[in-house]
Amino acid sequence: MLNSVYNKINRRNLLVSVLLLVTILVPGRVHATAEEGKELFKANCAKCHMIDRKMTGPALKGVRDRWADSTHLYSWIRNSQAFLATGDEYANNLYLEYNKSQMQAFPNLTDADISNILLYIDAETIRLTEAANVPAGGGGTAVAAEPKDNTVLYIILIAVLLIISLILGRTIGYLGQLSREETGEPEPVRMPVLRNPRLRPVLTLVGLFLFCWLCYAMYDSAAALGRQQGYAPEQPIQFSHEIHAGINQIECKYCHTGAEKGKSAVIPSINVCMNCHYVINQMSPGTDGYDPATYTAEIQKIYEYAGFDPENLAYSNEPKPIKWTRIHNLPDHVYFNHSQHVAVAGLECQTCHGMVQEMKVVEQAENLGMGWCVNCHRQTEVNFSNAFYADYRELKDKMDKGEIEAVHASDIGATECQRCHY
Amino acid sequence: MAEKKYWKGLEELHPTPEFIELAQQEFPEELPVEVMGNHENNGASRRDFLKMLGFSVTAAAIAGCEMPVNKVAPYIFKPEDVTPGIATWYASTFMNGGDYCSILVKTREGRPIKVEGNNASMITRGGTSARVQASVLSLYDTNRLTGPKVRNDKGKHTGISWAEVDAAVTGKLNAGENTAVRILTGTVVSPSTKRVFARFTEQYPNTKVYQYDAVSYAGMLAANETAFGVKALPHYHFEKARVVVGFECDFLGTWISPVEYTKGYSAGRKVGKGKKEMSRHYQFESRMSLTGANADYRTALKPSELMTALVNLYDEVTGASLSGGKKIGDDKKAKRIREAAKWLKDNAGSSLLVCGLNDMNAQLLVNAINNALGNYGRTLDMSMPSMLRQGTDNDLKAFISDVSKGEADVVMIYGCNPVYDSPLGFSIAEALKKVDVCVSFADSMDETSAVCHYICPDSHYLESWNDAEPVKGCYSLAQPAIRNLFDTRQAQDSLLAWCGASMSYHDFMVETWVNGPLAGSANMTRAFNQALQTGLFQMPMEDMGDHEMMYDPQPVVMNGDVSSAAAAVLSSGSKMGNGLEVTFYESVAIGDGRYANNPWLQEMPDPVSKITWDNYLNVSPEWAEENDLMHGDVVTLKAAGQSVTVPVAIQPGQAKGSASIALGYGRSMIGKAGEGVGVNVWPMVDASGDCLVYCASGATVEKTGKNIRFAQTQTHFNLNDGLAKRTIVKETTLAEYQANPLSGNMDRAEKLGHLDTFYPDFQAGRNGFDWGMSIDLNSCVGCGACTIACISENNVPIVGRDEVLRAHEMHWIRIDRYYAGEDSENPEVVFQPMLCQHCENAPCENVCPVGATNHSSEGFNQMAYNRCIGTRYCANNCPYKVRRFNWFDYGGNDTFGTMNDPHVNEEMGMLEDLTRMVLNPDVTIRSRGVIEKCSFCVQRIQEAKLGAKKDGRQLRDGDVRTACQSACPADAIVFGNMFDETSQVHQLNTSERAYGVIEENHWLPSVLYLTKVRNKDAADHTHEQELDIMDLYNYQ
Repeated sequence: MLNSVYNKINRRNLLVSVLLLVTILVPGRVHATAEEGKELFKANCAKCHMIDRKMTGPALKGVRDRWADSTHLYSWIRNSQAFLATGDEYANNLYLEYNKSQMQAFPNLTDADISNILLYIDAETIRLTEAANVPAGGGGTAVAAEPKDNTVLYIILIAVLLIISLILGRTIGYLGQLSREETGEPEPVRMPVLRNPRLRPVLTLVGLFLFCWLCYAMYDSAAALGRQQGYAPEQPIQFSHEIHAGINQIECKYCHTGAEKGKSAVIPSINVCMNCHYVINQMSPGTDGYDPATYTAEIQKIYEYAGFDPENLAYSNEPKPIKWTRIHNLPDHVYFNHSQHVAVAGLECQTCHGMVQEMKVVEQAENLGMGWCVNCHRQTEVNFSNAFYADYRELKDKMDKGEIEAVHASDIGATECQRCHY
Repeated sequence: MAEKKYWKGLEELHPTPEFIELAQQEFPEELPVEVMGNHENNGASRRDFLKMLGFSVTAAAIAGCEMPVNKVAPYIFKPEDVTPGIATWYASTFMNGGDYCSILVKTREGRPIKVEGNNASMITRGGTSARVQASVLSLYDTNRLTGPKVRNDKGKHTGISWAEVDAAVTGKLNAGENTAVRILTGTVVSPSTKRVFARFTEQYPNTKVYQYDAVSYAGMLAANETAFGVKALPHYHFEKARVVVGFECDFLGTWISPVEYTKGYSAGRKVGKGKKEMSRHYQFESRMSLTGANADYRTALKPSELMTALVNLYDEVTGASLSGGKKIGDDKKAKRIREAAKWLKDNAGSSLLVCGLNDMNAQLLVNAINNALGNYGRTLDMSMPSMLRQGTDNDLKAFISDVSKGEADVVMIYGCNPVYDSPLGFSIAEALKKVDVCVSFADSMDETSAVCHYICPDSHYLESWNDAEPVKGCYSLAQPAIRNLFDTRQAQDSLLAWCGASMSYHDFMVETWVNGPLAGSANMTRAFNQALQTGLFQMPMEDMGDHEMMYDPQPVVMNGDVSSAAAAVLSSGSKMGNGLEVTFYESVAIGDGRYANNPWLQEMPDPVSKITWDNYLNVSPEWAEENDLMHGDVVTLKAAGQSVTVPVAIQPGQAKGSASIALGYGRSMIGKAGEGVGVNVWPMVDASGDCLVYCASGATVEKTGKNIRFAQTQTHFNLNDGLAKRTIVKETTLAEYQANPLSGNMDRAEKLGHLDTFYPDFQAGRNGFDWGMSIDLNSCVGCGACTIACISENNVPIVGRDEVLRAHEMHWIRIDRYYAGEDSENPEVVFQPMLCQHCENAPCENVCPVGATNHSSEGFNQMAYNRCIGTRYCANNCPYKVRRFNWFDYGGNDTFGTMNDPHVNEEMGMLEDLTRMVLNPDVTIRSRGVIEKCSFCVQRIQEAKLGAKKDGRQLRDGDVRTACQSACPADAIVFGNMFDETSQVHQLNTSERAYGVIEENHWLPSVLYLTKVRNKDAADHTHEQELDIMDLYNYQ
């Protein structure tokens, strides 16, 4: 009995399970195939095709509709040359349109693979159309609210309070005078605050403190003259280091090629940008805090400067230089060499430039003052394994004997004037 | 024996009270207190001071308030070989007329900023001259033409396009049958350019190319043609000569190829460990030339006497008697000729006689003497002759006659300026008026271009492709180091375009090489690229060894009638011997006038007179006294039917009864720097014979009553205050040196031995590097290349004549010139380069109130410009007087405009955008009100150290070469790490000859000098006090 009940339940369960499975898995299956298609697309097609734009090959949006017979499409994908030989009119026109550039053969793709790719293309097409239909400006740009400046408010408040306290003070004084007049009490002898012997030490202290503070403040602001910590000017192209060095993990020195070679780290020339942006002509959506439309427009600016025509993938227009605003300005009497710090000392770029990979807009992270430089020169240990330092014989001996633990840059003259000023 | 007296000028030899007072003063000029305020009573008041104080504080605050926004524009497409911040070097060739030097060009961000010698060259062997060093500035000359020009009816030149020029010129060239074209050039050293002329002549057969040299070598060329059948100059090997005799020949300064000769000459005169021999040098000349100043025995002879002396020398050497009893009157001088002859004979085969007279007969005699001595094929060589001077005076005359007869339809002028630099200039200008189309290829407006119809500006040599064959069989290449700055075109390209050759000069030149020097190479492209990379094509170095001749010379057979030549020499000598004899010479810096617009060269003190920005009539002290002339008296000089008004400079060493004056000055049309500087004496050169004679006899001098001050640097910075005897120069003779290497330097141990100091040991705790320099007084010839190299490397400002007058010149390295001996007609001369000595106990450091100058652990006396507040205490306390104060804003980098004195020309030097392109970006431009001085080229040291660190290796000796060191054609300067016992500088600075200037005061200079050794008989030499031999103070 128990057994049969169990069986019944079990059987029902099974049915439910199967039903459930079907309801769950069928849409899941569609999803999975599109995912697979995406991987396959990236691996095989993305080199030459994009969904909504011509590249080396045509845009793949609506590719299914363009091919009357889907079997033709499949065999074309698997081996376009063989299919061309069949004399198909559409295929041959396509071949001519793209200057007879051959499409690579993909004999390994199964029918299922191809259908997955096509599914992915369909899904992408829908997504892109939807994205395009969202009215411009409304698409996810987090317009940062202007932080309210309350200074004026505070000043007004303080002024009002001051006025009130003045009025109150006068009132108290007046009332006191009135009451004294009534009682006939004599006027108290007024003593100027500054002559009050009890207050004098306090006042002296306060005065001294104020004087010291003033001197310090003057020195501080004088030293800060010409320093630009936090300077983050607007640039001709809204270039985001976060996208490049942060999200995409591009090595700093890929673009700043001079950092290891010489004095200047080098702002990359436009041809370096074009190494990647020859292909990457838009900002893909889905990055937090970035509006694809805005940044795609910024990429178009590179093309304008490079004289590049993205439609025909040709440098056919007049190029012009980008005039970036310089952020890190050392005074002319300072000699600074990047390669000494990067190639020899092995410093990370971030040591001086801050977390650039997190900066949407680059700003000057450090004050670049002499105190800041010297401080680091005092703390940095010299890599004595470099054969160059063999000339510092005494120090090297001491190091080898373990008499000293480390040689700091300042021990070999890195804080002397003529290291940086000549 | 009496102490030897050194003097820089006659005023020091016979000091006046004013001179002593000046020498003891803090600064050589009066302080310009009047600049502060123009109060009638006593200059600036307290109120002025407060006003100034208030203003400067506010100004500083305002200046700091707003930071300028700096823009930076990277390349669009970065060229592969350019990385911002890293220098790119190109091998190239400096050529200007016959001046030649194989060079390396340093470019930064595409701008050429420095020229260095090319060590791979067998000709110039890494040496340079002041002219070569300064040539980079001429690229950025604001006076350069920016495009082709045509002369309008009013005689003014206006802009035109190249297409229009081409149409006009080719139109004229093809207008009639057989168009007569006359091309006048200076010496053309480039084989491809010669081929261009040939190609042009092919197209227009009635073309004639005439070559002339302003300072002519026609006499030598003719003599060599007569004697050997080769119309060329010999290739000299001074390094092989044990005796050199010079006759009116400035081979270290200006003659043919001074860089090459200085290399050889100084190599032959170096002494040191393992080399105790040096050459002996006799010089016979009328003016005190740079070469004469370096001679062991110098004899001052008037030009007329020189002629007799030469024949006498021939007689003495060969035993002939062509002089016919005619002798030099002065016994002492006659004795010198006999001595020179004896030395020549004793060293037959390794002696050398050179003569700078442009006289065919004199040169024939010189050839005969050298031939009799068997010197041909050893110290001089005709089988692989020098091609550096090819022009003849007859060519110029033939050109004038062609043109003035109206035989020329088209005239082209390339690489010369005949209207200015020829005595026949006026007739050339007149003749050119008769020509229909006259084309000049000058790169800037000059006297000749002004009368030409078209000016087709040639590109600067640093923008051009070219090649050169300075010595037969030795080739070098020039390549552009920058694109054309202006709309200019190489003359060769213009000519090729006009003769319808549809190829660029570059392709044409490659063609020359493929069929010429490189013919037979297996891989042509590779061979050419190799030549281009080294800048040279010559026989492999290993085949010739260092400084060795590159082939086995064959003795030559000499033709020519020597006795009639001697008779002609004697007769021209007696023709000259009449009244005051004036010689005309080219100066070391300005040359024949082609360098006159280069402010670096104009401000370079003349090596001997130390006068800048002027030419002047050199007269001997005795003659001046007889004629009641003072230094700076302006006189009217009348000679050769011409007259000029010129100041007189009293020049020790000038032969009595003669005078001399430099050519190349008084340019009427050249540019801001050179225009109107000095007077033009070209018309006084005698053009009546076959060869130009650079001498006029029967000249008269009349006083005008005016007296000017020369911008003369010689006594500006005096090391000797007249109060105490100081060690400045030390010298000895060769015989004494051979006997005892310490000779001349024996007092050093005593002087240094008793020095005690309460300062801590200067080397305590020091480690790594101790930079030091050694300067060999025996090698330094005083040419001034180091001064200009330093200007170029360290952005040293040029101050102009008025400021030099106030002793405000800014040179970081100067060459002090001392005379010695009481004979003012024939003093001994010592050249001593003087730069910051980087004293270990530096007197300047102690007195700086703000610590702007202090000592580094590597031995530098550092100068932090931005800390300097301009008290100038350091300059006052510097015993070597090498610190320079920026009186004005020469760099134009002050926030509030230039704030300059009105007499500083605002539109010159570093204040112009174009000129600023020459600045070295690694060296700070100093602002107004700070002291500057030699930094030991710290930027080069840091660069070399960084390179070694990046390579992970120790710094090698020779990795660091200072600008002055690498420019020096005499290898007199050696720089390096004194801590490295194997380094060359350590070896030299611990050698017997090393001494420090004024070292008895225990300043411990890092620059040591090596005693000068003269190859002189002890009896002829005035000695220092003798001292016992003592242990030499060991520097380490």
